[in-house]
Amino acid sequence: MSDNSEFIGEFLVESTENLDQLDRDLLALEAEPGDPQRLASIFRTVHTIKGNSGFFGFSKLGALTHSGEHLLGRLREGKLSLDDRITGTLYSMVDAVRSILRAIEATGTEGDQDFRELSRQLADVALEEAAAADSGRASEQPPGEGTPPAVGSLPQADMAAEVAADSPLESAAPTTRATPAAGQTVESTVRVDVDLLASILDLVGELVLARNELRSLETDDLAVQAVSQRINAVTNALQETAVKTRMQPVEHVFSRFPRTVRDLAKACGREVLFTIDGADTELDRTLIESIRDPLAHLIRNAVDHGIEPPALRLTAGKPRAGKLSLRAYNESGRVTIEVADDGAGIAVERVREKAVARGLVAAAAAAALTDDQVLQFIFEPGFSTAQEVTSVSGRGVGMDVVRTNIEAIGGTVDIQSRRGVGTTVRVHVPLTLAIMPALVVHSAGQRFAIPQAAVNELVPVRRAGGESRIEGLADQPVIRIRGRLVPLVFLDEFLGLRLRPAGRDEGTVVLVRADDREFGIVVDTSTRADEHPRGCRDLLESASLSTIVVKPIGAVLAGLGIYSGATVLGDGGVVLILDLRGVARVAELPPWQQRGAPDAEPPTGTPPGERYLVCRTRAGRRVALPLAEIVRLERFRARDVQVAGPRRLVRRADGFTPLEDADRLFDPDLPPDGMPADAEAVLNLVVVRVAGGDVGIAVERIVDVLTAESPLQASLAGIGSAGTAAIGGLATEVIDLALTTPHV
Amino acid sequence: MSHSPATASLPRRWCSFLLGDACFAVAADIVVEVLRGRPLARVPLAARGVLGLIHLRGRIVPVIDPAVSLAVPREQRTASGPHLVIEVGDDWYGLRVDEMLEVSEIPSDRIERPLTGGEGLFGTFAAETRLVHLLDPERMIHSLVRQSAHHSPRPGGIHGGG
Repeated sequence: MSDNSEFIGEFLVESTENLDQLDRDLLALEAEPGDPQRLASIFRTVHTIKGNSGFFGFSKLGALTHSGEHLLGRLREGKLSLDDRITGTLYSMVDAVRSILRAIEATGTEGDQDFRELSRQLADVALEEAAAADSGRASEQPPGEGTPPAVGSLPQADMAAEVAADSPLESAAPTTRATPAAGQTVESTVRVDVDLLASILDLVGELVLARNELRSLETDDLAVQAVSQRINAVTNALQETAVKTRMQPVEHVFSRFPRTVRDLAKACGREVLFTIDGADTELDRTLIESIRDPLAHLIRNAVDHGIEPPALRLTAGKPRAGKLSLRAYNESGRVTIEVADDGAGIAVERVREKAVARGLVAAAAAAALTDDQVLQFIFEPGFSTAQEVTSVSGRGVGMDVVRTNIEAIGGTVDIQSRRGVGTTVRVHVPLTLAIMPALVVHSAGQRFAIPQAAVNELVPVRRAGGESRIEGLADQPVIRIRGRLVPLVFLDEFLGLRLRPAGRDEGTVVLVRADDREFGIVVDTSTRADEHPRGCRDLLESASLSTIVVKPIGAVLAGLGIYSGATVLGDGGVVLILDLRGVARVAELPPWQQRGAPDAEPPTGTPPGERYLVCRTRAGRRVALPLAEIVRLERFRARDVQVAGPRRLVRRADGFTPLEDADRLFDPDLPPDGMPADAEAVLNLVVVRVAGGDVGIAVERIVDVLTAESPLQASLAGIGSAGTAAIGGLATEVIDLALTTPHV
Repeated sequence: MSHSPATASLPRRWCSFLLGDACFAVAADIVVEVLRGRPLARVPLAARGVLGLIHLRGRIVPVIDPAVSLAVPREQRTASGPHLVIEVGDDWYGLRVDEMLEVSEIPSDRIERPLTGGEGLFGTFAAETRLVHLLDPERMIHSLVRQSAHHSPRPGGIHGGG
C-alpha cells in the first residue's frame, strides 16, 4: 500500500497530536469531572481515531477505540460517573493507542501486541456501572473481541445512541478543527517540511558569508558603499528571521509532563500541584529534543525525592499537596528552564560528607565551601544521597547525565536547595547553535575559533613590567589569576604545530570555561596588520570577534573530539572551531579544580592544605615557613653567633650555617647587628635548605605547625614574602625562601 | 550475466583518475565537482589520510588522500593535484588525485573481482591499455571513519611520527 503511505503519515501525525490533546483533556476532566465540553471533546477525538483506523484497515486500533468510545458514550449520557478506575482505564487506552501508532510508524503494521484484554477492561468498566444504573436491563454483549464488531452485536438502545452520536459529529467535524478552545487566539501557521527550512537556513548562512566578504573589500565608491550597507542591514535582519524559523515553543516538550507528574505522583503516593509557565518560550528545534530527557529526570527527582508524602508534609506544617513548578523564560540571550519544588530540600551536610568520603575534596577545603558550592557535587557521576533507591528515579545516575546532556548542547545547570524548604534546578540553554559569536585566535600561523560564550577573559602572558605570568608547578604550566591557579594548554604544542622554545612566555592566554572547570589556552598575539593582506575596513572581522556560521565537519573528523565544527570567515578561509571540553580532556589537564568551587580549592601539586611553621619575629611579625623546606629547628645563645665579614654564622654539627634575622628579610635596611645585647639570650633558628646550602632564620618564637586554610595569595606578596595565606585563622606572611641565600 | 544480480544496478559511467601509476575510477553519478588550486585548511591531529578541509558551495568538505587506504606508494604521487569531490551518503568528500582522466562507459559484465588489496575496492576492469580499479567510496569512507574513531589525537605529535 505504498501509495497510502503519505496518508498514513498524515494520519500518524494528526493522531499523535490528538492523543496529546486527549491527555490534556483527561487531566482537565479529572480536575473537573462534570465538564461536558471536555467529555465531548474526548469523545470526538476517540471517534475520529476510530474512524480513521477503519479507513486504513487498522483493526486493532479500531477495536480498541471502539471500546473506548463506548465507555465515553456512557459517560456522556450520564450513565456513568468518572472515578479513578475509569480514568485509569482511559489513560491505558491512550497509551495503548500510542504504542500501536508507534508500531505503525516503525513497521507499517499494527504490531504483535494484543489489546483484547484492555478492550475487555474498557467494556467491563462501562458495563459495571451501567448494570448498577439500569437494573433490570438484559445483559449486554460487550463490544470488541479483537475484531471490529458487527453493528448488529450492539443492543438497539446503544446503537441508537451511537448513531445519534455520529450525526452531530459529522456536521461538527469541520468546525471542530478550526474552532479552538475558548480563550485561545487563532494561530495562523503552516506546516513546512524541515528539510526546506534547513535549506533556507543554509542559504542565509551563505549570504552571511558573502556579506562578510563584501564588507571586507575596500572601496572608495560611495554608491557601492551605500549598497553594501543596505545588503548588510538586510542580511542581518534576514539572519535573525531565518533563525527564528527554527524556533519552537518549549510547549512541545512540556506538554507531556503533566501526565508524567500525575502518574508519578500516584505511583509514589504523593500529592502534587503541577504548574507550567512560559511554555510559549522558544528554542531552536534541534535543542528542544535534547532537553526533554534531562527535564523529565529533574521532574521525576522532584516528585520522588523532593516532595514529601502528604502525612510528612502536614506534620512539617506544609500543605498536603506539594508544589512543583516548571518555568521557562528568556534571559540575556539564552533560555532558562526552572524546575522548582517546595519539598524536603537536599541535605547539604550529607552531600558534603559524601564528597569528602569519595575523595572529591579535602575535608578542610570542604568545610570552607558554601552550601551552594557543595551542591555542585551532586552532578558527579554515581552521586546519590537518597536513602533509598526507588524504582522510579533509580540510583544517582541521573544528575551527571543531566549535566552532560545539557552541556553537550552548550548549556549549563545549577541547583539551589534549602532543607525543609525546597529545591530549584535551573537549566540554561543557548538560543541556537547554528550562528554564534566566536573569538578567532592564531596559533603558529593557523586560525581557530573559540565560542565566545566560553571565553572568560584574555590575559597577556607578559605583565606590564615584562615578567611572565606563567609558572611551572609539578610539570604543569599554570598561570596565577587573582589568587587562582589556572592550568594552561599551549595551543601550538597541543596541536603539534610547533615546538615552543624554552622560554614559552609569549602570546596571549585565553581563559575559558568548559565543564565548569577553567583553563587557559595560550595563543599567539594576533597582529592585525599582517594577517589580512588586502587590508580591512572592519578590524573586528579579521582579528578577533566574529559572528560565525557553524558548519559540521563530518564523521571522519568529529571523532577527534577536539573540534566541534568549522566555519568560513569573511576572507574565505576555513577555520576549525575548538571543542573546549574535548581539548581539556585530550590535554589531560589535572583535575585540581573542584567543579563549582573554584575559589576554595587548594593549590595544586602540593598536598591539600600546605603545612607551615608559624613563627613570631623579634619585631613582632607573624610569619610562616613552608614545612617542607625546613631541615631542623635549633636553639642558640646569642654568644654562639660568630661574625665573619658581613655574615653571622653559627656552628652546627655539619659546619657553619649562616644566620639571617627574619625581620631583615622583610626590611633589608635593618642594621645587621640587631642582635640581643644579652649574650645569654636564646635565639630560635629555623634552618631551611635553599639553593646552595642551609640558612638559619632567626626568629623570636616558634608558634606552631599549622595547615593553611587558604591557598597562597601571591598578589599580596611583598619584599621577603611569597604571599599571604590564612593560617591558624590569621593572615600570615609566608617567607620567600628564594631571597635567602647562604652567600650574600 | 556471469555475475550476481547486483551487477545489474552497477553504474555504467565511470570517472577515472590517476594515483601514482595506477588508474582508479568512481561512479560518475557521485561526482560533484573537480576543484583545482583551492587552498586546503589543515586539520591538526587528524588521522593520516585526512589532508584538510575545503569550502565548497556552503559546505565544509574534508579532503582525504585515497592513496593511504589504497596503498599507493608515496613516491609515485605528484606534489599537488586536483580534488575530486564526490558525494557519499549525505556528505561530500574530496579525493586528492594526481590527474583526472576521462569519463567512460564500463559494461557491468566486464567488471571482475578486485586485483589489488585495500579497503574500498570492489572491482577491476581491464581497459585497452591499463587496469582500472573501481572504487567503492562508501566502504573507503567508513573504514576511514572507523579508523579515526580509534585514533585518539596525540597532542604534541610533532615529536612523534607524522
